[in-house]
Amino acid sequence: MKTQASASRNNGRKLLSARDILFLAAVIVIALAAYFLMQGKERGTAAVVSFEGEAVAEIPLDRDGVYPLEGFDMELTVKNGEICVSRSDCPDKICEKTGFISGTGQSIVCLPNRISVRIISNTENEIDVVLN
Amino acid sequence: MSMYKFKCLKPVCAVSAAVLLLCSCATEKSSAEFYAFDTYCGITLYGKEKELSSMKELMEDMSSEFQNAYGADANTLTGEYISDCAERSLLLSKEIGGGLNITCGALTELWGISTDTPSVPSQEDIDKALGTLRGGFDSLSELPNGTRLDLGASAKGYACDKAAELLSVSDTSCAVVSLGSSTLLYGEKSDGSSFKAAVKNPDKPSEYLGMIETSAAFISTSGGYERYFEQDGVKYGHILSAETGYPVETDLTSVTVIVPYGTENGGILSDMLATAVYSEGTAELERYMDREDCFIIAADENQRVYVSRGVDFTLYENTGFSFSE
Repeated sequence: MKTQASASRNNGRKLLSARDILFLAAVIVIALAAYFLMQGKERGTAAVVSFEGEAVAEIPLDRDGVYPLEGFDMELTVKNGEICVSRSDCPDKICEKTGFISGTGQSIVCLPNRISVRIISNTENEIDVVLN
Repeated sequence: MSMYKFKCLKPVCAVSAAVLLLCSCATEKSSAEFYAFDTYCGITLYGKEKELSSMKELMEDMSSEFQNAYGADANTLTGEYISDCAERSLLLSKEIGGGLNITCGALTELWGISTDTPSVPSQEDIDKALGTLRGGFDSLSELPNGTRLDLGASAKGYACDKAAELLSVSDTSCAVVSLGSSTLLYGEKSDGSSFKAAVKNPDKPSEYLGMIETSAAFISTSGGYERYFEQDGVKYGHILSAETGYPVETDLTSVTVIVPYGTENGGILSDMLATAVYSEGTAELERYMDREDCFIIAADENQRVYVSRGVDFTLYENTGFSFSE
């Protein structure tokens, strides 16, 4: 009943007016901007590799290199302070497709292998202030 | 039907946009480094850019006022900050004790402590300067003409109090105001974690002794390892004794005092306490540790570390230091 009433009141108007489209576009732009501003602003110093949530390796990001993951058919690559899963035997390859990450808190997850790679900052960077 | 849905969508979009916008503002980190109070200062705050610049301005204003009034005559003080700081310091120095005296301006100037060319004065000059020291006063107006002030042990702490005042009426959610030996940790970090403040190793200032984890607080550090000068092979520290007229002799090498945020005059209190505890050495440490308004982390020349109960302090390995019994 109510739906009908409101529909009839809006007779003659398009589903989305130009103003609505403009508004939605603005919302999307703001949301994207906020998302990118908040994402990985600070570069991490190392990547923690975890299996089923337990850390199994820590890879520094300051040296380029290729790291085969022991016990798995997986390989990680560090380049220019970024890390990616360069090879994985998993069926979906989502981890490979994620590509390089470098911001503190960012992560790559390989669900089939139950492996996650998370960027961290070492203790030095966590310090808020040095007392003199 | 679909039109009706869109009508609901509009406010939802508006709210989510506002939330996202607020989130991005709240996490906006801005920082500034500058020279004031004879040291490198740093401000990091999570708030609006305008708040950072007004904080920097406040610090620089105060710094230049203190600079100009260095060694000023207590009776002819001009400037709201310095008079206010002096009055508060006077009362606190009485309460704390510990040889604190804000009327030792003549003595400090004689040694040239804050200048580029400090030197050891003659005994005669020291005696003369000691003669100008005053004690037992409750107000600046009671001090005799010619009394020279030295607010070296309270100016930066006072500036932290003023910084906290400014922040408390701002939109800033979290800030770190570092004025070298005194620091204000304000608000709460966005991830809810505690503030982490590194204490320098007094025997090796390029390394850390350990790390303090705390909620909002005023923290001041006093030590002889950063500011001293050498003459004829003898090292002279920058904290002068109001009794002997010479740099204080102490067996402590580093003292850090934490006063929780919200304590009245917390900044000045931490600053003056750090100087007092450092000056009096391990002999009087227990008395200060018993105070309920502060936490202390002290290191002595035998590489022992003393920590008040209730402080979250991690002593780093391989520093050569160990906790005292």
